Amino acid sequence: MSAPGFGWQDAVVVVVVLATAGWFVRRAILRRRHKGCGCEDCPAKKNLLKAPPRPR
Amino acid sequence: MSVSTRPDAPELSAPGVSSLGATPEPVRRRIALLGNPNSGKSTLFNALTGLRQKVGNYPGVTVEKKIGVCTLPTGRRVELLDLPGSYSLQPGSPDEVIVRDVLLDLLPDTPPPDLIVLVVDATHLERHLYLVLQVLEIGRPTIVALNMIDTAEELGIRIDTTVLERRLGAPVVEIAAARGRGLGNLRRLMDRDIEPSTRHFRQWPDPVRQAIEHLEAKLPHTKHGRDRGRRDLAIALLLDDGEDDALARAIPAELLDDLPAQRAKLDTVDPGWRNGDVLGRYDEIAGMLEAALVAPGVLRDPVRDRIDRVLTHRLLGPVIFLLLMGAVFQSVFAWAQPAMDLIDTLVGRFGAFVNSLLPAGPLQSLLVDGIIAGVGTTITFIPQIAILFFFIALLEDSGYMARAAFIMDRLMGKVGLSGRAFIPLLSSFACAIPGIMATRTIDNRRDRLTTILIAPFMSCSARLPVYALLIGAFIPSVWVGPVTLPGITLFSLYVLGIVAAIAVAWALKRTALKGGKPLYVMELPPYRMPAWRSVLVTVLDRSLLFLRKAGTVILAVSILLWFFASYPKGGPEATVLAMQITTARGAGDTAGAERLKKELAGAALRESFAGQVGRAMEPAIRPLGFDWRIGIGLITSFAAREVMVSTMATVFNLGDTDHAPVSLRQTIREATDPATGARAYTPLVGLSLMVFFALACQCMSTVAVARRETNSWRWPIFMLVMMNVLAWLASFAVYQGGRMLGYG
Repeated sequence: MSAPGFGWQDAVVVVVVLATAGWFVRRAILRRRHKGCGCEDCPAKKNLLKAPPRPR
Repeated sequence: MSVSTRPDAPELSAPGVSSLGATPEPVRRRIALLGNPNSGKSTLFNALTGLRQKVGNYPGVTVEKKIGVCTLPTGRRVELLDLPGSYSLQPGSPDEVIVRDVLLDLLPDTPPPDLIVLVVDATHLERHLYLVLQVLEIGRPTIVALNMIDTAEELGIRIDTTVLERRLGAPVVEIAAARGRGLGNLRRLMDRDIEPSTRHFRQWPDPVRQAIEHLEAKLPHTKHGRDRGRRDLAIALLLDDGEDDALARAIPAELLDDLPAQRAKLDTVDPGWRNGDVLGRYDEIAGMLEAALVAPGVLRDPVRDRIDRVLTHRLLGPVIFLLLMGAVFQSVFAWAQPAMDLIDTLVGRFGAFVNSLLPAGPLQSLLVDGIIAGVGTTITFIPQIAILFFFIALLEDSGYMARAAFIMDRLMGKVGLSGRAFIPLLSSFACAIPGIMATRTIDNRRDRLTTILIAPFMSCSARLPVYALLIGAFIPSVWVGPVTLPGITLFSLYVLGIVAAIAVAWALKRTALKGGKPLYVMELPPYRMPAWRSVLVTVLDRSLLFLRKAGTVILAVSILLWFFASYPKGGPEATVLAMQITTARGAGDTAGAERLKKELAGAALRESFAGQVGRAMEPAIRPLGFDWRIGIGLITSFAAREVMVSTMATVFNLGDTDHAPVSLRQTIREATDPATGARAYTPLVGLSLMVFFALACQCMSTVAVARRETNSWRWPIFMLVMMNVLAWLASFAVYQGGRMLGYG
């Protein structure tokens, strides 16, 4: 766990962790952009027909 | 229909279709499946598209639009839409609004279908024909599919389709979608150009007719330029008292203001003018049935009646329901154990293998402590999920769940909710998201809101791995009568969620969402032998969904959590310990060095980013019996509840120096407090944590869906705060109460 210096394992770990963080950011941006709008590309929910609750 | 019929064209261009703007853009022909709830639309949809849409033997399974592609005999491919079930085109609930809006061309992003396949339950023709008449009057090409014709024949019902076709002015085809019967004929019909029916099935009294014509004349031409569509829009406007979004958008503002005056004028002439429409249609249906239907005098099934009398009995019904559910939860534990042990062993061995393959370093730790421990431990719970959904699908498909809804209606009536809330709540046992979406079948707004707010109390499948982990770690496998203690505990946790939901609904219906108990009329479906394909599809889908989650969110959280639990390195405590290890090794004290290495692992975790966050929140959760390590799990489980399991696996693996393949349950049971060396978690802590998980709202997707369905942030935030406060208080009561009684 406490390997001195920066070896190849550290390099792989940095790439993996950054890629994962990037995946989360991309997911959040996509969700924010679509806000579950229900369009075919909507990452939050595919195939959902937009149906706002009916105000009374 | 003026669409191209090139047999070899998968995508149909629509030259000459002026309604579509005459653009050369290829347009695939759209066919909609429509019908009353529980008429078998989704079963037909699956049979025609080869997709695996959720089907169930009770009304209200489909609340969204589902789209699939179906290949017709000439080879052309059409888009098939599975619409939610609807009793009439005068909508009562949000899902029925969808159907009306699609057919009347009121949704800007969804053009109306080119062809409608109206699915009708042949055993309940009288009731289902009401919608048929309404739809045919819209004047769109329509095929009437008499579904469940096999059951009708078994009951001695004979339908003269030729007569029915003539009376309806639309082609009629007999099918049994579940058995694949008649689907060839249906496909052939779908491939042909169908003329719309020209029949009008009811005559309006003069004042109503004049009001309709008056409105129709003022309506702008629709984008598809259908005059008959305008007439139906005028009728819908006149009959619909609700302030309806889509309807309101479709008409000029001055016309909207004119509507109350028109209705008031009709009310003075004839107060019952609205009912005239309904009664007129039923007269027409009675005439049709007399000509086309040969049915035995009594359509009751005596065996079904006898079974119903027992299963829906005021006292016996709930007892049978509880016994059945108890048996299900017992089986979840008893049957899943061997498979879980096997997966557990395989994951442990794989971890040890990877450990031996790589030299010690951060990548080895990421793979073994982060990914394999996190994801591997989570997938151990797949057998339990599969078994639970096997039973739920079995009970749904057989028709029992509809009886359970009937029994629950009495109970829910007492707290002011209708039985209509039962199906959304039942769906929430799988996941609160479809459950909340299923509340669209509830027409009363206050009831719908209450159901949305209590749906996340139902123990979803994401809670199951957490329950299973904690029960496995803390509850001894002791037989109590015919069941084991773990089975009873699991059952109790599900009951706890239900009781909390009922209590919250009771409180809400007496305060913020006050309102009378609505009447609930539910059609009890016939008992059927479960369709094994559909049961297995459910089990497979739920298991794959869980696996997909393990491969995406859980994997990603495991990687990030490993990072946050491993860095920064070299905090003050860890540095001192590292120096002590070097000294011990230099002095030849191997045992001392090993002991210090364990302490170092614990110190590194405590000083990591995750450890710091966990320790910061410890004062808030200490009264519940939780330490900072559980605190880390509580935070990460907001990504997905199952992540709690992978978090525990990562946290305990990082804090452990020897990577012996020991199950997480055993690790948690034997975990010690690094400061005192005493046992960290007692069974009381386990119980307190289970109660917390049963009641807490930890799912961000649920909050997001509640936001969308309620169109405001107010209610989802209320839900989040209310559930988490309740969870904290309940856990506090369990832990502190238990300690006062001398446990833990």
